[in-house]
Amino acid sequence: MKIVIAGGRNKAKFLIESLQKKSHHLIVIHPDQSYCDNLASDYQIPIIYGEPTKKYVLEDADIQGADVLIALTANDADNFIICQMAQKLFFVKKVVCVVTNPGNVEIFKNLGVHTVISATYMVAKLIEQSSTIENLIQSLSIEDGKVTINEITVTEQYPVVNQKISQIPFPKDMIISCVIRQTCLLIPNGETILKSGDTLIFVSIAKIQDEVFSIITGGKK
Amino acid sequence: MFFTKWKARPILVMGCGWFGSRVAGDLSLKGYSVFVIDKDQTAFRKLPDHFSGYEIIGDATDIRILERAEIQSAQMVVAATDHDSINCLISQMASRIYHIPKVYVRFHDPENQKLIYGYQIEAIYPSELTLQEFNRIAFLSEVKE
Repeated sequence: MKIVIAGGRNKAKFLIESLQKKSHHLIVIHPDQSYCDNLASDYQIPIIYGEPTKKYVLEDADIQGADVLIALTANDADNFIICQMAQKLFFVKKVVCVVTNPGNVEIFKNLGVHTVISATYMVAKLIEQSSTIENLIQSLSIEDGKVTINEITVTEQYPVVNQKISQIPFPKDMIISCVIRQTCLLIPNGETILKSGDTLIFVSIAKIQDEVFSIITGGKK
Repeated sequence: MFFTKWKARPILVMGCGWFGSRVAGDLSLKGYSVFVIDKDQTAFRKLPDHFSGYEIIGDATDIRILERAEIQSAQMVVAATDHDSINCLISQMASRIYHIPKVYVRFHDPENQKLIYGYQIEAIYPSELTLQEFNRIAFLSEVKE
């Protein structure tokens, strides 16, 4: 795949290394000359020195028809214009950018950027999720936080111990995808009986996550 | 009746430079409710004395700032910050997300025209205007000779 990386410092370097291993065709554009020299001495890939928000720089970089463009500059508006130029003027198939202001994630998506990543947003969401529920529970959000994958260990006091899964009144939009019992992995069905010490991995939509936890732990909602 | 209502809907001017401050001053004099947004407080000194609108300090690409300036009910947005990329983003937010009927944007780089093509956004290119004016005055002096 032809991948263009615009701007960014540590993130750019890390990406170059990991993408190079997968033998993608990389093009790097960076507005700082000494950093370009630094990159050029480390990697055998095209490094273009210039402001990636300018059309002529993107022309020089020959990004026409690239598969992916990743905009990593520190300025949200710059990243937006880079993505839009790549899409509209150079027909890049997929554009990805990072933003510093979490509020821009939705806006940029609405305006046509395919993937928008905000480190602040992701970390804040993780903190929020891990602080609203108990410590022993781990959860992971996918699809921008609409769906969560959760892990919970069943203890003796929980009301679900020694019950068949089909008898527990779980809501509709969730599924227990696997049960880890000691070192074995079980794919449960309605007949599976939960035991103390089991670790459940379940997928649910984010809205009912707390409800599912309160059913498993017997706690109040 | 309709006229007074229409005038009460705010106009947002982003960037309080020489152009932004003058636009804001003129519109304010005509009786519109004007909000000027700039991230630098000292920029507001450029506003003329008769300006009677609101000054908001902050990043014009931040949606919270825009909503504080009542962008939802705005009738016009003028994107006149120093940076083309910021102007490009603001004008598209105003037109494509908030559906503001009149959106004007200033671009230093005429290439950016292609990015707003097809949207309800009108652009001003100072470099083009300067060139036109140059041709006009240079041509006039040529005729005089």
